[in-house]
Amino acid sequence: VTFSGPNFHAYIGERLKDYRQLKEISLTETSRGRCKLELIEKTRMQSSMAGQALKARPISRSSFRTSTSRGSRLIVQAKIDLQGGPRIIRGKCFVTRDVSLHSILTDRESEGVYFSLLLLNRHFPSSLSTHLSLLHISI
Amino acid sequence: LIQIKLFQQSILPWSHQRYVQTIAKHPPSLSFIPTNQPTNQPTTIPVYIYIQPDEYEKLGSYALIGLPDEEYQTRYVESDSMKTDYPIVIGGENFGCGSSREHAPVAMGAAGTKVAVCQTYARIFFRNCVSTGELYPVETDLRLCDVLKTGDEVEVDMVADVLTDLKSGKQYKLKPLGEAGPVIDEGGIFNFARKEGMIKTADV
Repeated sequence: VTFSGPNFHAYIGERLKDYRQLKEISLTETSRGRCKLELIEKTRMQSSMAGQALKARPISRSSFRTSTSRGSRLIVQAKIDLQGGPRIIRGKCFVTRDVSLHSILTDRESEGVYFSLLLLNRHFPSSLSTHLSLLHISI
Repeated sequence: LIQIKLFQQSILPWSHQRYVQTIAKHPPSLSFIPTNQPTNQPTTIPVYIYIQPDEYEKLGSYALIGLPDEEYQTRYVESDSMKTDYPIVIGGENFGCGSSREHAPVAMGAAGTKVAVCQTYARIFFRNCVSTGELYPVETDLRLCDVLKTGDEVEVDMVADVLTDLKSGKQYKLKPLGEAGPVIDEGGIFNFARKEGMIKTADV
């Protein structure tokens, strides 16, 4: 998924405003609301500085966790802020038609209710009021 | 009062048990998910349902599972997958009808749905899309379901409110989401309320 909205890029820029010397930033969405943020830096020195600064951010540890730092490549797990959201969504489309209760499978659940009523009526055959109350409540 | 008393005394626990067992054999149109005990894991569904991340992923396999096989030869999510190849759903009228639970848009969001473009939506489904922030329910006056077919490459511009058929280059005007847009942008009603200061920010 590529987040190309201007607000999202502004958010990233704001978060990393002190580290514009980064050679490359790549984002990979791992699950909803989270992404793998890979910072490829120019030098090992900058990697260390960036790592310290990232740890010093006023963000909770669970939402912004430095996972590993190897050489000039720093990989962090970041909780992304979808402020602005994905503004351009591109991909294949799945076409459905008008929806009515006849075009979707919603009647399976009623079989269960009916089955329960049958069993209940067999279990309490002598109580007519029970039958009626059950039928009334179920309906 | 007599009826209620009878129901409460002897029938309710038993009938409830049978009901659940039977439903388990015949899953309903969308999904029945286990609701685990509250944990420290990040929640993906607000309010009262706590769900583990792997359960959220699993929900994706149930997205649009109620579509009849005879009418839809292409499944929205293949049987051996939890993700869809179609991030954009095109529909006609009353999209989402029959799905009154939050699980319906959550399942679609888990599968990878980003936006739905339809003529009209079922009211509760539309509201749940906004509440959960899982996907953008965009409306259009056009019957795109008669123009496009499954597998077509399209692009939805949420700023210009335009859908573009990348093959033909044709553009179709969409209705703006209005005030619902920022709520979905924030990932749902609770995230939006936290951002606006309506409720306290949760300690992560």
